[in-house]
Amino acid sequence: MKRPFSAAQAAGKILSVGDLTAHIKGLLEHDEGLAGVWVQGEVSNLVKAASGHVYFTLKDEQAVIKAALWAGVRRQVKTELKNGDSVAVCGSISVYAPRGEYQIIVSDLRPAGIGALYEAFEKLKQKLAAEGLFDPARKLPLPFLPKGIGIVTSPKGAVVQDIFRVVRRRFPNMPLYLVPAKVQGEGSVAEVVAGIQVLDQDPRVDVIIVARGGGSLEDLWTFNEEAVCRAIAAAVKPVVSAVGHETDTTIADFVADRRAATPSQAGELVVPVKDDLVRRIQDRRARLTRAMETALTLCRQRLRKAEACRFLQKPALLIAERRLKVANLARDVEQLAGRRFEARRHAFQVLAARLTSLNPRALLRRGFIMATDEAGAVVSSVGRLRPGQALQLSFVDGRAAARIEEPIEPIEPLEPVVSDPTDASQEDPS
Amino acid sequence: MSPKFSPQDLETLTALTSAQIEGMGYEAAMARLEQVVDALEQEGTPLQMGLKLYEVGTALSRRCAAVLDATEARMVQLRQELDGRKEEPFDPEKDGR
Repeated sequence: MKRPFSAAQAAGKILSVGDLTAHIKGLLEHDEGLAGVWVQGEVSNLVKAASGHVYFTLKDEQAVIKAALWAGVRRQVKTELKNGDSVAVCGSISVYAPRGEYQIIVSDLRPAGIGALYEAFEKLKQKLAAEGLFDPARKLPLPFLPKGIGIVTSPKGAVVQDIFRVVRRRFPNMPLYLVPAKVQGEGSVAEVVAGIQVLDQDPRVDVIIVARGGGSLEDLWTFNEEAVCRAIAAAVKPVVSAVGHETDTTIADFVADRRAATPSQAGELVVPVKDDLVRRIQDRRARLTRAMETALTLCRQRLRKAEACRFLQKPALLIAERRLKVANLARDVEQLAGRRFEARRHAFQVLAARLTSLNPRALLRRGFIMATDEAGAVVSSVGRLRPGQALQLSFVDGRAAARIEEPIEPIEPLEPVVSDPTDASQEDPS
Repeated sequence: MSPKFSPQDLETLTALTSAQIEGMGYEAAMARLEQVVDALEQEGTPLQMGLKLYEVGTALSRRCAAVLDATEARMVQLRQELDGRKEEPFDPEKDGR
């Protein structure tokens, strides 16, 4: 189709490049048939930008199309691209006006030709999930310290070496039991299943590692096989899966009691660091001994304190103290008795003195005379005397008769009679 | 102050045969010994009772010391057993399969 320039110019229908490109852009980006289209081809001119975005060209014998895989999508699809890979990508067409280029913006991609495997993967995953085989409640805890570790993997290659190395480093004398098994291809499923079953019945083994190195989905397929997954689920001992790299996920990982990102990590999961344990044991042992010694020391101190009792040390004190008491009492008795005796003797002497002083013979001896009347009564006053009255005079050495002559003259007492001072004060106090 | 131990208490305290003492653990023997010592130091304990307390006290003290000695000997023995343990070497190449 050809339009005359003059007509186009007259109608104002000469477009700018921008207008034309915008039109094309509209056509391509809003076409329903192109939105979310899947296209398959071979990857070439792959560029992985520092930003994480990936740019490549998808080609076949007839054509090429530029493709962009944004970093966010790239993280989700998990498949690492390399030149020459045959892939199917899903996306939408986008026009980049400044370069006049169009490209497919990838929203999903699959390695080509394995769509069937993905389907089988999803189907088995859903089936086993529905049976509850992924249930967290089914997961067996790993033993704190297994008496032996069983490993099902290929005897060749880095995987078994990695596990050996890590376990040996952490726990040098941990017994390891390897059941060599094909982990890929013909016969691998039977060998892995048999390996798991053998180790599950081996009384020396407390935990089983099922391991394989990294690889493509096809390489890892053995671990997406139902028989392998069921063998893992049926094991009565805990099973750790260590299949592929961290980004690879197999159904065996879902069924296993624990998933290790790498074979090395599997080694770390199944066994503690022996040196740490030994240190902890030594620490506890030291504390145990210290505690026991302290307890004993306290007990001995308590016993020493009780034994320090002076009566236990010197039982003679029991007697000696009493002996002393007896001696003291005896002395007290003696003193008390002595004092009492003295007091009585003194009282006696006083009385004796009084008695002596009251003896009338003593007075007669000193020259006094006692007069008695006819009746024999002592005459101590002139008041009753009459002239011519006969009296009897008693001397110390005899008696004589006498007669009263006049005058009889009573005398006025000049002073009161003072009584004998020994009379009252020397009474016996008792 | 009234005495801490009545005559009845003292009788009860000293009512122990040597067989009973030999059967006592440290705690029981020690607690009894401490009571005996208290009683022994108490003013006014009769002499005959003092002698009985002394007899029981020395027996209890011997029992305590014997229990402690035996405990310590056992502890030393256990520690030696613990320290004497050796690890067995393990060769994964040889012992593995």
